Amino acid sequence: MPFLRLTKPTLAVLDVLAQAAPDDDVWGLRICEEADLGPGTVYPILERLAAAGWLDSYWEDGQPSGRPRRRFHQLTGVGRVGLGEALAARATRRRRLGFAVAPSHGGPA
Amino acid sequence: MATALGLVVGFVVALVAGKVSGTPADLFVAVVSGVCAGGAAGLCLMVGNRRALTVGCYAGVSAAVVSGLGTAVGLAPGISATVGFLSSLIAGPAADQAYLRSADVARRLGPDALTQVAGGLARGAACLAGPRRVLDEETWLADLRSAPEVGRPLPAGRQLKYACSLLLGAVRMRAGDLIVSAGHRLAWVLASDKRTAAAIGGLLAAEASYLLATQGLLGLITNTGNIVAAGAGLYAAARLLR
Repeated sequence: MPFLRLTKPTLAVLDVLAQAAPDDDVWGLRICEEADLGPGTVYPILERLAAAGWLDSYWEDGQPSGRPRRRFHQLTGVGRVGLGEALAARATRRRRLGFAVAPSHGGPA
Repeated sequence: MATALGLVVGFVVALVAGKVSGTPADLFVAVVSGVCAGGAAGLCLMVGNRRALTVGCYAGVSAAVVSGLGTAVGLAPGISATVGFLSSLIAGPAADQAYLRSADVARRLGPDALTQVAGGLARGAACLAGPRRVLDEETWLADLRSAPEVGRPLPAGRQLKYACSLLLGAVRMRAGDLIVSAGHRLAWVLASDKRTAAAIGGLLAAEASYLLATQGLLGLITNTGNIVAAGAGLYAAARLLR
């Protein structure tokens, strides 16, 4: 599995993606709003996640009236497993170093 | 942001001025100016008036910079502070006029113009991001034109901010591409002993020829140890990277 650095912004993006219900579509602007990050941070992260195989992107079906089609993003199975493993490894590392372990940060839904 | 800017500028100037002139009185004047700059900006921020904030920031920063520079060039503390204060009296109204002018321009341009500028910036960002990300243009324009909650477009000001951030993101993506590409080339060199040896040899030969050209044969012989150390260091780094 490709190595992904889990920075705070990456975790915030993963958190939004992981918390979304399967029928709840998530697109770039929504991630920016919910993660409180700018698109200049979010889109490079989405690209890295996609390159690692953690993220799947697809266009909205049909042509909605009054606005352009959106591009939706969702975590893949690999992404959910990878996120779970990475968070567990991170928690172990933090415990070993004596830091308090933050409450579940974007664990797979 | 403006408050932080006022504070940072004020304290940097204070430190520089104190370092250059060295007397406690000068440092005191400069620090007081910095605190005034931050305080003025913070007060305006609390009032919540953007126009007052702009004026306060410019006036405060001007006072800090000018009095700091005054102390740095050796003016007496009292004179520095007075000149700084006078400069704030000029900078404040000038900033006020500039604020009114820019607000007037924005009003005359209207939200449509700002939306178009934001769209242009998003397209520019997509171009900058490279042909590999050709789909991003449509994605980003869709983001600009549809708010998450109600499906209405984002306000023009937020569209502009969003588009500027996209530009930044495009630059980051391209920088990432360059790093990845450089990494591939480095991996290609490191994958073979011959290529690694040739690369290290080339670097050392370049260093040796530079020494020969600038310091002559004696310089080259004197620096032989350095060249060998550099070679050993490069070899160790290559081993480590492998």
